[in-house]
Amino acid sequence: MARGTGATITSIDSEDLRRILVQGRRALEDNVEAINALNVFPVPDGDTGTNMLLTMKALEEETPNAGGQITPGSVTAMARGALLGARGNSGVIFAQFFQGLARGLGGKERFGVQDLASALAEGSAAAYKAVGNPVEGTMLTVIREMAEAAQQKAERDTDFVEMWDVVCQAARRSVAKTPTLLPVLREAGVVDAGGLGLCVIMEGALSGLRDEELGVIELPAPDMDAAAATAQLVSEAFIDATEEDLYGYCTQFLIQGEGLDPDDVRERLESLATSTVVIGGDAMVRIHVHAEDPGPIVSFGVSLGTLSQVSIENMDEQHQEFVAARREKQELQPVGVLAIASGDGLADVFLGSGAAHVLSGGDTMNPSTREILDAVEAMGAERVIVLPNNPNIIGAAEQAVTLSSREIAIIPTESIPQGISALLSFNSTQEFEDNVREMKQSIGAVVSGAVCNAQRDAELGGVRVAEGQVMGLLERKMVVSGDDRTGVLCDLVSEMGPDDGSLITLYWGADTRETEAKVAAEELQNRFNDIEVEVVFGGQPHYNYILSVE
Amino acid sequence: MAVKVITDSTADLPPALAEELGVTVVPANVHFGEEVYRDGVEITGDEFYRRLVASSRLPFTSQPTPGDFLSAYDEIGQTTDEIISIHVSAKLSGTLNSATQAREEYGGDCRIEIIDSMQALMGLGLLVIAAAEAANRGGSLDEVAAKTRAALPNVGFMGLLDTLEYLEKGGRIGKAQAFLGSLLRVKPLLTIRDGEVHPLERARTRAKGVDRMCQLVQELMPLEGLAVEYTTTADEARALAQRLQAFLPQGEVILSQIGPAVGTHLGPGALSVAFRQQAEGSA
Repeated sequence: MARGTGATITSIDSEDLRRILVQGRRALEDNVEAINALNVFPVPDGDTGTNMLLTMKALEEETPNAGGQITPGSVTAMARGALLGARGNSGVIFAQFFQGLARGLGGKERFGVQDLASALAEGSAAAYKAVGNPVEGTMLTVIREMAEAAQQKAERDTDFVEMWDVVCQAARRSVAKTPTLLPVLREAGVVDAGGLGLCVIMEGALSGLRDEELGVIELPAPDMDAAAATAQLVSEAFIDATEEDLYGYCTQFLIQGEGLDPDDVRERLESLATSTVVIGGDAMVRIHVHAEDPGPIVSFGVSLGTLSQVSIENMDEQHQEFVAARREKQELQPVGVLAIASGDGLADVFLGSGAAHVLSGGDTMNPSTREILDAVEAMGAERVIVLPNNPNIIGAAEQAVTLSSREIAIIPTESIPQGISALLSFNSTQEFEDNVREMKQSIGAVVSGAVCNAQRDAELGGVRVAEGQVMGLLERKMVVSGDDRTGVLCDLVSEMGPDDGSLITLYWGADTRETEAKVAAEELQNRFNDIEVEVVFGGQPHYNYILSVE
Repeated sequence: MAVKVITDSTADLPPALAEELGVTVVPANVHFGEEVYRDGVEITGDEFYRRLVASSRLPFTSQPTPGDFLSAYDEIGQTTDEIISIHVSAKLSGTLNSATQAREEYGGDCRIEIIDSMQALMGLGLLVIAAAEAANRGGSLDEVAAKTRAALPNVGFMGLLDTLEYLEKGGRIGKAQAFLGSLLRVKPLLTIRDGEVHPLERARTRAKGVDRMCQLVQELMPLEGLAVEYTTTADEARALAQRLQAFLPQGEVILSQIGPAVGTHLGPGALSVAFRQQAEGSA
């Protein structure tokens, strides 16, 4: 078909269709990595672009070669090729869409704008039917909105290229607003990968239809303004963020303006208020903050643009609602582990291994029953497992059991290594009683030791130590002493009886240097055959090293 | 005509066993960049794991296409009029979806029953074996399907990983993400529950993890089937199979290598045990 500029094209033929498909596939190929990088739904596989490309290729394999007529029969074969070669969910939806398209074209050799509109409608219906549980904000929405745009255009205009352009524009808009429909996309600040893939194919096809070289396609960006406008007034994230501070006024509004920068707004608000949540784009930003005085917040908002949906509520009144919302969340998190330890590093180790909270305490600062109770109550879990990690704290923890309204189980861990061992046996998806039993069992699987300086001269169990000398403790009993810390450490490990394949974990304390700990680990490695040594920052006071052999 | 059993390559059925039982295995696809290989047919486990470690970009795998299943249904449909098609958990893979699409496209006279195993690896494999044995005893499709469905709750899986890295990258970490973020080196022990990955516990050393698996298997006795699988540590898996043999007095522990399709998500050094418990009341 001739392509004079300005000429109205009312229908297309085999050659056009082939060019549409080839350019569409090439456009997808050019952007496949960008599309793969977006995939967050339903599983973050990172292969949506590749799956769609392979599906496109399966379709292309069934396309008659240049010069050959694309007959109604070959269109059916192409659709079947796509369906049978479909990879991944995005591929399956795309293939079903194409199959519907083919059905809609209804065996014509040439087709016009009306045919395209009805084919897109068929394609949309087929795509929705392909998935058991259609989710809006995905490729499905993009397909449906393309079909709707085509329907409207077909009633008014007859130029095929112009029509395709309109469909492409609809696809771009639809892709850009996928984050308004799907919270997972909104949170990630991205558009739907499958929808973007389809949009890219349509754009590539448009250049094929115009018989132009394939240029660089500008990918539609997520419309974060629209996402801000559609976000819930009080989001889940907000409730999470407000768990700590429930005072002052909860202040929320929407700012509409020009050249807004959500990151900038967030930074400014963080200096004025707490629990700041800011989402949006350059034309619209939604904010949620807590402030003792909402005045400056509102003034700041007004300085940026027009405010709407303003809500300022007294937090004391809101408090009850938040408490109810938190209680609901607690039901989702029925069990929490409270660990008692001192030292930043040890706290991080416990938190990183699944403890919900770490209460500071240890040898020289045994927390009171009251402090343990308060920590348990503040955790917001129905049932709490406590790891005292010190024989002198177990008693206070047991008192808490009888005083608390919560169900509390104490795992009688007498050392940090026992506490960590117990925590690693904890499994949040398992029954409370099973967890308690298995955590108790795990205590015996680890041997604990510590290295520190003697506070006074002493002789215990036949081992003598002078004030200021180094002593090595095995399960809290002095078993070795000496002047050289690394030497004492090695002798202590020897007493702890490592086997072949044992793992020694060395937590270095606040008064110890990392370099010394690393040298000590090398010493251990040299002295004992076939052991593994892991060096971890504990940051604990008093003890230069806390260590475990298991 | 006897019912024929079809599964996919994530079942990791040893080829000789599949042949002996008359089970047809439809391979998943493994992609290195644009190259596509058929799992277990065009690429072996060992070759795959060498490339997995060596290549900078992670390979990915894709379910068999509807076309792959349609070819299998067409071919097997020539020799029987009843097919049972048992596959990897729909929560872990779109394989079941491909099989369902293929059944809709299928134009032959064969009746096809599709079952979601809610499992993967030999957890699926042991179900397939149970189905094939029922089929080979001459059961009808309805009987074989009923037996297979009844066996679902008795089949389970546990796996010891060297790292959660691959499971996380592949998007299959499921509830086991609770195990992420530890500052300590740990060996995660996982299971498949309700069709998705669940955490069990964490061992500090591999040896302890293996001991724990043995202990857990013992607690599951009496057993009807056991299988040990590995991605790269064949000798260790063989030793584990020998240890576990004591818990399966009237059968043989199956030893099998985890195929690429699932192996991509588990990584090198993965070791797993699948079991089939005796149904309650049948002892």
